[in-house]
Amino acid sequence: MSETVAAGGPPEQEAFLQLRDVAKNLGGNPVLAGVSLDVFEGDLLGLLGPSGSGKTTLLNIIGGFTDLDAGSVRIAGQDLTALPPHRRDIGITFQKYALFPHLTVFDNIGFGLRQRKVAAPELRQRVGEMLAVLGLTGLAGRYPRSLSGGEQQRVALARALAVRPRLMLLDEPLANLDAALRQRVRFEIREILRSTGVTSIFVTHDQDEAFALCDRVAVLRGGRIQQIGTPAELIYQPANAFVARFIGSPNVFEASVQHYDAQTQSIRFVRDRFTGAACVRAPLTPGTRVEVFVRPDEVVIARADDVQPAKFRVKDWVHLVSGREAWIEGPITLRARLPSEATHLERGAAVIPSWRPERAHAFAIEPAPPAAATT
Amino acid sequence: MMRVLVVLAVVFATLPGVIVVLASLTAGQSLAFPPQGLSLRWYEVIFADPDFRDALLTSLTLATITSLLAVSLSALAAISIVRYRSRATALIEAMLLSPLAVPHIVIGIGILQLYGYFGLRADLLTLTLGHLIITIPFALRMLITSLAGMDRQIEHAAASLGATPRAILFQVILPQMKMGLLGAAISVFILSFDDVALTVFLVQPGYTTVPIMLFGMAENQVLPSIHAASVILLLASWLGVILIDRLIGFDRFLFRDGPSG
Repeated sequence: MSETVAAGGPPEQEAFLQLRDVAKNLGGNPVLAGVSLDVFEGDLLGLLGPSGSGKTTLLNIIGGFTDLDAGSVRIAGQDLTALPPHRRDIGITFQKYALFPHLTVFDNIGFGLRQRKVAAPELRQRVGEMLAVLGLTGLAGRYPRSLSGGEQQRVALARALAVRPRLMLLDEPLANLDAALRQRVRFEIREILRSTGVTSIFVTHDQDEAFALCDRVAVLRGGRIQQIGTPAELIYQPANAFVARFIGSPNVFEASVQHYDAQTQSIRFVRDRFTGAACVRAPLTPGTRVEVFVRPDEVVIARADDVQPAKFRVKDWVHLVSGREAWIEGPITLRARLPSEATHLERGAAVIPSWRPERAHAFAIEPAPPAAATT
Repeated sequence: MMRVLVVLAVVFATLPGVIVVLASLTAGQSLAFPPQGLSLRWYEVIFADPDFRDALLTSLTLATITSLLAVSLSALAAISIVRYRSRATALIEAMLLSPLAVPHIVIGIGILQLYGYFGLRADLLTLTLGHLIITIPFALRMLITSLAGMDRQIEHAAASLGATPRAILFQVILPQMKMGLLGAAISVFILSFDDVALTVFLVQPGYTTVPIMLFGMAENQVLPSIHAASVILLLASWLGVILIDRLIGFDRFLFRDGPSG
C-alpha cells in the first residue's frame, strides 16, 4: 500500500494535502498501516469506513492531536509532523460539536479570531457574516446548551470557517442529527463548503452521505485505504471484495469459475445448477472459488417460459421508498429491486434472474489477509 | 415506616445544633436548657473577649488562604493528572491523596515533631501548610472528577482555532471548571475552619483558632459564651453549604451527575 493512490485528480498538479505511509500503533495494534493519500486544492474528499477502520485516528493525526509513528503529513509542501495543533491552521468540526459551553454563539464563532488578535470591529463584522451565512443571526447571544442539534452543528461549522482555515476536517458531522434534518444539513454543508472553496475532508461511516457530499471518496478499512475514486467508480469498479461488499448492500454469494474470457475480462460462474456472468479485475482459472457481488437494482427478473427450466421462485415482496424488492429463491437467494410500475409477479411464480455482466463483480476467495486492526 | 425513620434521622442530626443555638440565647448567668429568657448577652460577652476576636480572625484568614492555595494547587495538579496521564502523574496523584489514609491526629503529631525539629513557631505559614496537607486530597478529588467529565475535544477544537496551550488553560479549561473550583473552595474553607484534630498540634497560646479555643474553654468552665461561639462556627458552615446549594446544587456537588456546563 505504499504507492500513492490519487485516482481522479490531475496527476501533474501537486496535491495540497499529502499523506505518505502514515502509520500508527495504539496499544500494540496497528490502527493505521501505511496510509498514503492526496487531496487537491478545493477538493471535498470523503473518508468512508466502518467503525474501527482508523478514520478518526487519521483525522487526529492531520489535526495534530495524535502523533504518528511513521510517515509524513504535508500541506502545501510544508511538513506538519512537528507543528503543534494551534499552528496548523486546520478547521475541525467534531461529531459531538465540542462547542465551548461557557461561551455564547457569538463568542464561540469569534474564538478563533480572538486568538488571532483580530480587532473588535473586524471581529464583529466577520462573526456577523458567519452568522448570516449559516442562518444563526437570531441566536448570537444564546449558549450552546439551549440550541438544537442542527443549530449546534451550524455553530460548529461557523466557528471553524470563521478563521478561513486552509483545510477543513469534518468528523461525522451528521451522525447526531435525526434523519429528516440530516438530509437538509447535508446539502447545507455542501453548499457552504463549495461557496468558501475550502479544501475539505469529510469523515463518515455512511456511504449515502459520502456519495451525496463528496467529489471523491476514499474507502478505509483496517487502517488501509482500499480504494479512492468517484462514487461512480466505487459503485461500478470496486477494487476488491471489501469495497464491493461495503457499497450498495449487494447480493453476495459464492460460486466457482467455469470460464474466463480475457477479452471482456469477465467470467462465467456456476453455483449448483445456476450459471451467470460477472466481471473480474484479474484473470482467474476455472475452478477458482469466487465471491460474486451484484446489487439488487442490477438484477432483472423475468417470468420463466416453458423452454427454460425455472430455477428460481418469487418468495416475497418488500416495499421500499425507492420501489419494490423481490426475494427470489433458487440455488441461492437473491434480492431484485424493481421500479414500482414493473409487472407484478405473484408469490411462487417461476422466474429467471439476469444482469449485465459488467454490473456483477467476482473476486477470488483468498485466505483472509491479516487484518490491520483486530478491534 | 420509612417516613418515621427519615424524621428520626433528621431530628437526630439537627437536635444538637438546635440545643446549642437555644442555649446560647439564654439570659441567665449559667448554662441551662431550656434557656432562661432570651437575650444576645453571651454574644456580647464572647465578642468582647479579645482572645476570641483574635482566634476568629486567625480562623477566617487561615481558612481563606488555605482555600485559595489548596484549590489553585489542586487545579493545576488535577489538570496534569487528567490531561497528561503517565507514571509520574500517577505517583503525584497517589502522593497528594495519601493523607486521606492517615488520621489527622497522626499527621498532627508528625508535623509537630517536624516543626519542633526546625524550631518553627505557630504562625499563619505553619498552620496553612498543615491545613494544605489535609485539604488538598479533598479538593484534588473533586477537581479530578470535574475535569474527567469534560470533553477533551473541546480543547482540541480550541487548539485547531489557534489557541495556544496557555490560552486553552485560561480561556477553555478553567472557565469550564468554574463550578468545580467554587465547590472545592467552599469545601476546603469549611474543612479548614472546623478542623480540630490536626490544628490542636499546630497552635500555641496566643495563636489559636476558634475551634481550639472552644475546646480549651470547655475544659475549664462551661459558660453560654461557648455556645455563642459555636453558633458562629455553625453559621459559617451553613453559609458554605447554602452557597454550594445556591451556586451548584447540592445533588450535583455530591454526585456530579448533572449536565456539564
